[in-house]
Amino acid sequence: MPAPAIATENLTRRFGQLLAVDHVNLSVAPGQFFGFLGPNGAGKSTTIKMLTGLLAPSEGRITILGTDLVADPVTVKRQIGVVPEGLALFGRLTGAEYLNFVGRMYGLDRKTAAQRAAELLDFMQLSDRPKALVTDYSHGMQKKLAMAAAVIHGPKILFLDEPFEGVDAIASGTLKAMLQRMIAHGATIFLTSHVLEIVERLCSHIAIIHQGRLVAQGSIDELRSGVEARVAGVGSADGDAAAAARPREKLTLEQIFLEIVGGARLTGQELTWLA
Amino acid sequence: MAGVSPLPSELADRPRGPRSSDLISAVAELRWRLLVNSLRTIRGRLELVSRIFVGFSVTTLALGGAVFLAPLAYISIAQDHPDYLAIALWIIFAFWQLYPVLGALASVPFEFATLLRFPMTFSTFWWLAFFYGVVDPVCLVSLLWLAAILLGIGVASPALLPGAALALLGFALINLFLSRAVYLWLERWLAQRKAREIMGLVFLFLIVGFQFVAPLATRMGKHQAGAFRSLTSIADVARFLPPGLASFSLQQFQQGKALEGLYLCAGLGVYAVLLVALVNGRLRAQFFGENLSEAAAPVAVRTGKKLHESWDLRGFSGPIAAIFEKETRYLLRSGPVLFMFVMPIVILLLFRLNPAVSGGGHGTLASLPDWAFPVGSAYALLMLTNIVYNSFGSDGGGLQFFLIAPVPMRDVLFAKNISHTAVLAINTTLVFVATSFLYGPPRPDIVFVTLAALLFALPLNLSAGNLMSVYSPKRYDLAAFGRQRATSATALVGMLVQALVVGISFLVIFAAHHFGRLWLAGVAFFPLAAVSFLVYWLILNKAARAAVDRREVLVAEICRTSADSTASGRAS
Repeated sequence: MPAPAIATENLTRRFGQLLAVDHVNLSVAPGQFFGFLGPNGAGKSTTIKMLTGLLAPSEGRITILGTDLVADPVTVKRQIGVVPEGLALFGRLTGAEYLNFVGRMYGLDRKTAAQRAAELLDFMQLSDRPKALVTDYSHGMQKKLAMAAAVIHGPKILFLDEPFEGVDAIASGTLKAMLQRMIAHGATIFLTSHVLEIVERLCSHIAIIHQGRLVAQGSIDELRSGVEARVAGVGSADGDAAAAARPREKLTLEQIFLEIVGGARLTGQELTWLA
Repeated sequence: MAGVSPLPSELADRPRGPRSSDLISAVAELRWRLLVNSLRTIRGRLELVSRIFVGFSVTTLALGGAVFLAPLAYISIAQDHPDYLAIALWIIFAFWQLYPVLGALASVPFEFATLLRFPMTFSTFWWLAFFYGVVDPVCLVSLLWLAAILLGIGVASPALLPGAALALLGFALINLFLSRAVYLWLERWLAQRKAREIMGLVFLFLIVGFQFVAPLATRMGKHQAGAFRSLTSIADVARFLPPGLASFSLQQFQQGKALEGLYLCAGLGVYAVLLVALVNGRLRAQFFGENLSEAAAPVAVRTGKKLHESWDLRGFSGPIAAIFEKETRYLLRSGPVLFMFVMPIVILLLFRLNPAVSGGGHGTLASLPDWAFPVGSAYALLMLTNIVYNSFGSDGGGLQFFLIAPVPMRDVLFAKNISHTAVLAINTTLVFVATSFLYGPPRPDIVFVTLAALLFALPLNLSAGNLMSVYSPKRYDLAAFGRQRATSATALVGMLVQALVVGISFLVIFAAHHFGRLWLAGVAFFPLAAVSFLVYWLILNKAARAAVDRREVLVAEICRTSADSTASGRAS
């Protein structure tokens, strides 16, 4: 079995009294398209920040491609690409200048950086306004540029924090095509997203974090089987043997997610004044 | 149903939108809540304290002005000199119109159109905009001053009161609508980054231009006849502007020419109607939706494809060259920063023209030309500290990239310092050229001592700057001109470092002067520069480690969204 591309041991992060991430043990194999899910405030962004070196863990260990992140951050950072929550763009550069800058920061020579920047701008359909500053880009354009910057050095692992948020269908298609191409070439992708349909379509493996704790991890089929078994078990315990034995429709990722984090139950509240 | 109370039936059933008064009180409550919530932070509380002081100053100004203007109006009328009031009206006019413009340029403008998401009619929106202008402190102070003038006129000549009231009411309305029109148009222009930057630059050049008024006026004074003719022709034109019209109508009323006075008041009315139309047009455009987005649509046609290669900085690694290029491009694209670099030359020019010290036509430094180059260079260094002491300030969200990139933070700081050094080198060269042109070429020993002193002072400033950039960062918006001050801690440390540098430099130069050989000071600065550079090198490592350790604080402060600063900035 190959060593995991991403592994954490008891990864923990506290903010004062708040335990944002609670002893998380993750394992992502090389070549996986890994979806990291959780409700708002569950600890997704905190975890991804720790995995990319933006935030120091309070406890625990992070190993990326066999290298300890805390002990040797530069080696790790050279092999990963990141699209963080805030996109990390320099607004006062043009798209081409920014990509060249990023390329050089990752050790590419000037010519290679320039060639890749031009190719990426074309691929992302961002080459129409060469003189425009990044600060004047629309949100979707900035997202595409951040994605281009994250892959310019050919990373082995790509960390994406909500890459599809605020991106239109055309741009989303472009991004998905690029990500699938990277997976085909053996890269590992770790992404967080609230758009479960996209995660279901793209990701082979999922982890779900809830209130700082990892509550599920595995392939989508494994999670589905687990949830179905649990539901069936509850049905049997309730004496509803017929319900437990009844053939079911395949659960969607959204149903699996809601079942695991406990959001499927209705609150019983009603807004009576809404028509 | 828990937590949500049902709306009163009369409100839920109302077929039309809420009343104007509901909306106005809702907006007032919103601003109050923003103020109260801003007090949760120490920064917010300090802001409130400073605003209380400002409020106290404004009240003093308002009452002081009223106490001065009422007797002035009385004397003007009693002594049959209503033309004196023209000066007072011009001052009020300038205060009412210019002060809010300076305020708008120096802060994040309140986006009034954001209120349009709520269900309101155009008339409600119009009145909201109107009241927003009326409750402005500048407007209230100005109205108080006009009331004081009216009181003075009424006491001096009760018969003049109706005519004066009419003229001053017209004048007040013009000012009110003009200030609203200016504000709304400024809001329109400042909504776009490029326009905001251009306006800001124009504003700064105006401020600098004012510095030249006194020296140029003194020079003009030599040609008094010509100057007097110019002033007379200006006064002729000014008579047809609102303050001139108002004061002229007062004169007509006082001379018993009521009809002429009324005609002039009608002139004021025409101004007011035109301004209402202007305000109306702007509000209508806002109300019916206008797109001020700076994200232009992609252009379909491209002409030629050109590879953009980054800069090559011989002797330095790729990442350092990349950061140097990024820093340089940032500086070149920032109006305020570029302006900062022009300032040493402006100062040299001002001293050249300023007659205050030496009297006659010679400037302050003209009597001590040897000091021009050292003073200009020292000022260039002082200007540079604005960016050195907060070197991550303008990076915004990009700061995160430095933390995820495989480049040690030490290299990041070092590259930034190289760009700072390059800027100082260019600026010192410009100062040299300007000094040579304005005061004659500086003596070689002065140049030698100045450059040696800079070699000593720069690394010390870079060291302190790197530490303060990490320990006391503050977001800096390169597109805005206001609220760009460093933190108090940074200002204090900067001051202490300058005091240390100036103290040591003074001792060295004094000693050399004592021996009658100024160049000795230059030689003495070299070992000091070596020590200073060693300190820099040691502190660079410490600052780099601190930057990594404090990355959360850095990101929290520098990567704040503009919405955060807008909320806190406008809260009170």
